[in-house]
Amino acid sequence: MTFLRRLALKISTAVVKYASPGCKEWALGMLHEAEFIESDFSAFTWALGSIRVLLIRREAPIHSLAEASDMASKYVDERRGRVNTSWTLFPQSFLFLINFFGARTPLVRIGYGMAISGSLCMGIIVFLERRRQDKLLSADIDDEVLFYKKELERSLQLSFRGVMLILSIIFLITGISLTLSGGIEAHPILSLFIGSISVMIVLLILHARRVNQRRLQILEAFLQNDNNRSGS
Amino acid sequence: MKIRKSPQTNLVLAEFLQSEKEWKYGYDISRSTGLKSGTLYPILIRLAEVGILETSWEAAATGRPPRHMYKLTRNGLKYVRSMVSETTVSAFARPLVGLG
Repeated sequence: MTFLRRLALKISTAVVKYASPGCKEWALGMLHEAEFIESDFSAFTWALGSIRVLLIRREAPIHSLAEASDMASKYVDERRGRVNTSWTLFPQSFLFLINFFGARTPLVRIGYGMAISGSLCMGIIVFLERRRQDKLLSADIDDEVLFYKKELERSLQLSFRGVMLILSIIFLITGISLTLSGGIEAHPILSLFIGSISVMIVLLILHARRVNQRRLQILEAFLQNDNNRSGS
Repeated sequence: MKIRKSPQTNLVLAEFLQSEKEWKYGYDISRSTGLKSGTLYPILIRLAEVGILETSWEAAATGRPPRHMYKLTRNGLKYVRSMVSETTVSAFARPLVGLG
């Protein structure tokens, strides 16, 4: 075995090892495929290309409607046992309120005002959303897959509550930034920390959206295949 | 089905449409479309995710590992055919340069 071939094998094996659960099968397919490539250089470039798969993060694959149904059951069970602890978001509004009255400058007072409205609004929305789900889950669910599908669709829609939640997060973060006496120049590290948290929140929301979109696509594909099979 | 219709994705789908019911190997698709593995596999992964492609492992021959194979699903075939006819219609509807 030549050096290039050995290197290609090592790269592809490493890709299989570090690929996300949903891409392991694909990475393994690429590793095996490399053995059918006659030219060593082509096998090497093939292996280099397989590194791209490491950037694709996917959950463990679902192979059948039964597995999708298990996923839906897990989702329902997890949420059924959950206690609505969203009220814990409210005490922080009270702390902001105390500081609001003790604020020394108008800008800091505006900051606390924004933080109060942001945290209150966030608490109310999370509380209402949890209560809505609890109500649905307390009733008998005929088809857990369809219930799960509806919840995924709902999470992807731009609802009033969704917009308000994003606005309240923006209000809360901007408000906290304004309460820093002396501004960003006086607290560069703290400001950077707050900024990074807000970027992370946005990235997490986008990530959750993409994951839900993918789950919905998989679920729809299985349901469609199942309908076609029962129709023919 | 929602997929990003990039020229590379169209190339891959056209390749599958040439022999609709046959299983294809990754390296063969890469050679016939001219796409590198790093471009081809993300497309294959996306197509399989939305149910256009199905995957399978070929039984291993002696001394060789099993190969990963890909084929259009029934829905995938329907989708690709409708996409091709859509492209044909829009190509005819588009006015020629200088005549539109």
